[in-house]
Amino acid sequence: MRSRLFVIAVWLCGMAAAAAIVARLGIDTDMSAFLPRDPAPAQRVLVDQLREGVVSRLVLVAIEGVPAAEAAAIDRKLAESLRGDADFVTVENGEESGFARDRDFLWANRYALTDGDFTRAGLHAALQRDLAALGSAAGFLVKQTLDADPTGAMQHLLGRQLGESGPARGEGVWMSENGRALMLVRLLAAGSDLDGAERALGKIQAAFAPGGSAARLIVTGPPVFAVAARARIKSDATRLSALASLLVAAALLAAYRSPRVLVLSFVPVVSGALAGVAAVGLVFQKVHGITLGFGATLIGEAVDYAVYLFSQTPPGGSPDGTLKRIWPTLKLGVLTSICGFSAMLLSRFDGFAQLGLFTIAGLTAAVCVTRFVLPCLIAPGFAGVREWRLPAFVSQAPRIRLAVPLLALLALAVLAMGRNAFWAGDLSSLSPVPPEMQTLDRSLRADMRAPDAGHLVVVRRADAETALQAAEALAGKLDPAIQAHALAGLDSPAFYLPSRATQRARQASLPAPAALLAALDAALETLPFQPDVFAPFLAAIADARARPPITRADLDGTSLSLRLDSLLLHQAEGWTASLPLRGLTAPAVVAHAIADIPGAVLIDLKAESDSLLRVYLREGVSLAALGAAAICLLLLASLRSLARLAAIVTPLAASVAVTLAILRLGGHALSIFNLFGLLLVVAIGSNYCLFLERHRTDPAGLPRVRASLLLANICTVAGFGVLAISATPVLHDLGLPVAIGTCLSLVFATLMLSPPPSAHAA
Amino acid sequence: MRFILACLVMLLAISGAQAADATALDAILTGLGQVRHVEARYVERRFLRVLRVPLETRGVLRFDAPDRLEKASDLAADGAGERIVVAAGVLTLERGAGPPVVLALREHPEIGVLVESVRAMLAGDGGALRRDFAVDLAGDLTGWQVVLTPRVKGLVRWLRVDGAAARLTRIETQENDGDRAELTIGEDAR
Repeated sequence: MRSRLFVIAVWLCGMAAAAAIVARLGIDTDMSAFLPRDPAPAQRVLVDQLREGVVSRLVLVAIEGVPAAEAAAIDRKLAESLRGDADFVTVENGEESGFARDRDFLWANRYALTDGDFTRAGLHAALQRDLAALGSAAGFLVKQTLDADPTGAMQHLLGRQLGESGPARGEGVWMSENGRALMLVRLLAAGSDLDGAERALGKIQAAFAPGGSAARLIVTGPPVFAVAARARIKSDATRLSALASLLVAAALLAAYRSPRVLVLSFVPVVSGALAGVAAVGLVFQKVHGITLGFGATLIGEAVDYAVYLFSQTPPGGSPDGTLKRIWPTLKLGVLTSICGFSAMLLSRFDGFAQLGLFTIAGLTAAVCVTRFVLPCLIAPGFAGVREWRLPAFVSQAPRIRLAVPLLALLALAVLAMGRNAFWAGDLSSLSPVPPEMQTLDRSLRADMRAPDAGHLVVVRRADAETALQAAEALAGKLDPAIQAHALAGLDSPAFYLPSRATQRARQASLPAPAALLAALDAALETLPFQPDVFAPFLAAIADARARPPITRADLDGTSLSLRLDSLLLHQAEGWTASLPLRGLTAPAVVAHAIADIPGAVLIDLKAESDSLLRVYLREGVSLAALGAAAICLLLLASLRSLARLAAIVTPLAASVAVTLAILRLGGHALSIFNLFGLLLVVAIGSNYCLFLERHRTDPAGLPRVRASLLLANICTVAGFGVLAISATPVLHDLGLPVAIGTCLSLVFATLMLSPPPSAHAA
Repeated sequence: MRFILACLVMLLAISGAQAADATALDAILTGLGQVRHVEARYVERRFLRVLRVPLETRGVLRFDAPDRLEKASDLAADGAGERIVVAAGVLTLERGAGPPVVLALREHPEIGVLVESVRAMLAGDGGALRRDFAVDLAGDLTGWQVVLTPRVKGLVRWLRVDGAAARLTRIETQENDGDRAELTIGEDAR
């Protein structure tokens, strides 16, 4: 009695300590936990862009379902009400007013933002261009600014802005061919601030005033996806895990007919989860949201421990007796799982390593609670469980044992013949965004003529000034590549905020009034311009000579400020300037051109995100292989027989192969979550094999063992089968292989590892 | 075919010689509207305040009823020519090697007025013409002058379109800032 109380006290103290650690633990949702510990600069940029970049804040809005004029009116009203709100950095819908501040800024600072040649020859060439333009159809445009900007500085700036052809227009706003009124909204909240994004998106919905018409509001873009995904995973996880728990509870209740035993069955899992989180907290100081979500699923195996204990205790028997009997097998089963998951500890990704540690600590705690605490909690009133009578054909199972290798061979053939990609090589396959939402986004993007993020050149420096200088040097190096049509154009933070050095140099190159007048007069000598036309130009240059340099604050209130902020990121390690490239056709030329700038890297975002995924997969596969090898070694060491090892590994390998084949026949490329699922199949299935293998020569307890395995499997299939119906790829991809694979493991293990029928009958 | 149609229009016009202005304008427009395709050389002279001498360009004007208008200038000595095409309300301006400038005319009414006046005349689209302009007619079918004053104030103060029968011969544009352009259209080039 004293020892019982002592065990319970130790357990409660342990749980309290774990709870104390967990309570102080910060939950981390930073994607960088799923970056390698030594990320390549390109991967770093990718993640930075996902978290903070301009793309992560961009929301596309469309209004459809009503005639174009009506849609445009609603669009204008919506834009107007959003423009006053601090949660939105810019709201663009094609209305000229939206650009007025940008235009004013560019016009006032045109000589600080561009290089100019104000010598006699330079002015002469510019004026000759103006003359040709005046005679052209675009003459009326040139005419309007000729007197104040004969060198075309403003035109150059606008041309740089409008590099990409904007959306089509109609009814005074951006309008797609099929009559959708469009709007582009940039949120203040960065991609990593989901609460901020959710609030801003709510405001868009609230401000939408269809005025009783049939108008529909479409909102899409990365913030929308992120918020929707979070809500969906949250609701899926809550809903489905509640459903799964209910199903498992129903199965256990049907088996035990005792609410008390039912509650006790969950004690190991809950203790394990708490211990797992605490262990991760102790080692990593924080726990990632994904670890928390998955870890809880990965230790679903722990429910089985209680099942083995309770189901294998006959009426009148004591749990202690059962434990003595099953402990060696249970211990080996847990060690097998730990072995399998321990490979994850070696991962270069903190996220994987956290998952591995969580699982190991959780399973260890769960099995210890099962071994030491559960008997204390149930004794002495526990009456044991009635024996289930399994149908007679189960005993005949070994007669068709050859079916297992045959099925495995068939599965291997299916896998070998598959034509489509084995692994999903596209990052979007991991995206929790439903396909119809992705399709809508693509169609809206096409309407907007908004290019997907493609290629970037990035460079990092210690401070903003040197980062801007590097960006300017890069733009200079890339100019010949543009002339050579290796790329169509580029954007640069220095286009909006030139470095101080450049601003000073530009200001110094502006001639004094007398010198400028002389140069202009000389340049005009052979040209047919009227005298005195260019007085506003002379005044503008005199003004530019005296202007203080542009600072970041001068951009406030323009849409250019956000462009600048997205292209010039400030991080703990310094300042990163990004130069997005447009229409890149010859990456080699660009890579060669930027080679002189220290630290400059050309990044293909799509290729980079896919390669990051391949790194995940490669690492996942090799860790799984390592885990499998460790499991084999462990089993060999404890069974001390190659034949017994083979007997246990064959049904496991067969079930993994057949599960893979079934997933492949379903037509889907495999994802990394499928891989985790298979890892779990091995962890859970190995327990089945170990129990059945142990009773191969001892048929006495076999029916009870079989019943306990069946109950454990029913719980697993119920729990993970429910996940498989989720539309969220993460949950679906994890649930399906586990449900299929563990069921197959039990069937195959029964076929291969049951004693021959004659022996059983005897 | 065009010849026969032109004769028909002439006959019609002669028979109703004393008709009111509106009827005469409609007769002219009907005649113009029969011409489905025009291709003619032009000379344009622009008189600009900022210049001491007029700017002169030459090229080819093409029209396909009802709404495609193209003005392609000859290559200048430096190889810079330009082509401006208006079709279905969208203006495309190609100059040199750079990407074309594309504008929706609805969005730029000041250019729209310039283009629409010529298009509506060539297409014989009286409705569009009267909607956008106050129209004054002088002369007769053998030599007519139509003065178009935009109803919406913009770049252009007025346009004067001269023609003979179903052919435009000259377009004069007076802008509000005092600049002026004369476009002289030759015989059909085909």
